[in-house]
Amino acid sequence: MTFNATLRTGLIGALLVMGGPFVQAQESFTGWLFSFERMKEVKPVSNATYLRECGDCHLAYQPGLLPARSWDVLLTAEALHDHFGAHAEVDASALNEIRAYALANAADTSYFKRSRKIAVATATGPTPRRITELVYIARTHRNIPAAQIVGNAAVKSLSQCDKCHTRASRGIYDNDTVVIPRLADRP
Amino acid sequence: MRADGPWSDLLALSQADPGLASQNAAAAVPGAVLAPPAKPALFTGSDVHKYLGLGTVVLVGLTAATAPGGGCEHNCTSNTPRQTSGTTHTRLARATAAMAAATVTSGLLVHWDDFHLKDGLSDPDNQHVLLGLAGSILMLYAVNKSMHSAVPTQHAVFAEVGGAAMAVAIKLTW
Repeated sequence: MTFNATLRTGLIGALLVMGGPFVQAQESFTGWLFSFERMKEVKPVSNATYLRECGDCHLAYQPGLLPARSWDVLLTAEALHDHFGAHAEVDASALNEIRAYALANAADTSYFKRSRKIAVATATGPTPRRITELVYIARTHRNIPAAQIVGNAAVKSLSQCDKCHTRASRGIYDNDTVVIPRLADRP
Repeated sequence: MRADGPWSDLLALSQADPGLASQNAAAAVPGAVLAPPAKPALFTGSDVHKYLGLGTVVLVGLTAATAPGGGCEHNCTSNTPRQTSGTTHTRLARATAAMAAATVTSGLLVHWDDFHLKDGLSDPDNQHVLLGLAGSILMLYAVNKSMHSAVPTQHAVFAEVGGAAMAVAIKLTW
């Protein structure tokens, strides 16, 4: 490699390093391309209203876990009257904010890898209403014995992500951070 | 958000503190005690694969930077035998090829269940596997082609394209 080529490579590298932080603020293709931030998981929730209103009752599931058409169905005043068997109440302005945030950060608008996988897997077919309905999610959990989920008093359901995914609240769902809680053996 | 109905107990259980929720769950089973939680491993197979991949890209850059140009080392003339071992460039090239092979092997072992052909080419993990594998094969081909040639041979383009493919593969799942 000649000196000029080395210099050119170095300059491009320096531009990438220095330019990254300026373009990563906005989640976009260029933001993703030039960012050195790890984006292999799901974008953490950054909206206070979403965190408060959803997190009051359950894990504030990241919008990147479902495509926009799912949130479009789930986050309406009518749908919340029967929110998976519960009657959930959210005032109109908060619901508007939550809905807008979820639609803007849904799996099919995200550049985070796990969201992109979900978006690809749900691009066709019926609109999923539950995260646990996703083929991708079902497949990644298929080898876990039922006794460790539904038969486990400390977990109870596949929908309780944060019981085993210790960093679920930060949008991290990789295998390395999974700890399945278990009851101690009785004496 | 407030919730009531048959789900309310479960919803309450899942509130903010997962540790507390688990303790509640344990308390719900008579005589049960929650085992102390295991801690996630500090260094995992995924980390090994990650650092091998990053190391390969760094070595590709170093190998390119130490290339003598013209297919031979310093003071090469038409009568001087081409050096295919013992130089910085050839040593780095072999190390790069070995590390690329180790990266692919570790990826297959650690992330075997992350890619499925039926998800198609738009799945980022499938793209990662294809590009990483293609990049490694190109690097191995470049090294093999050069080390078995007694005359200057065009091999850099294969290695550089291979390195670029591996860099893109890393970025796609970074």
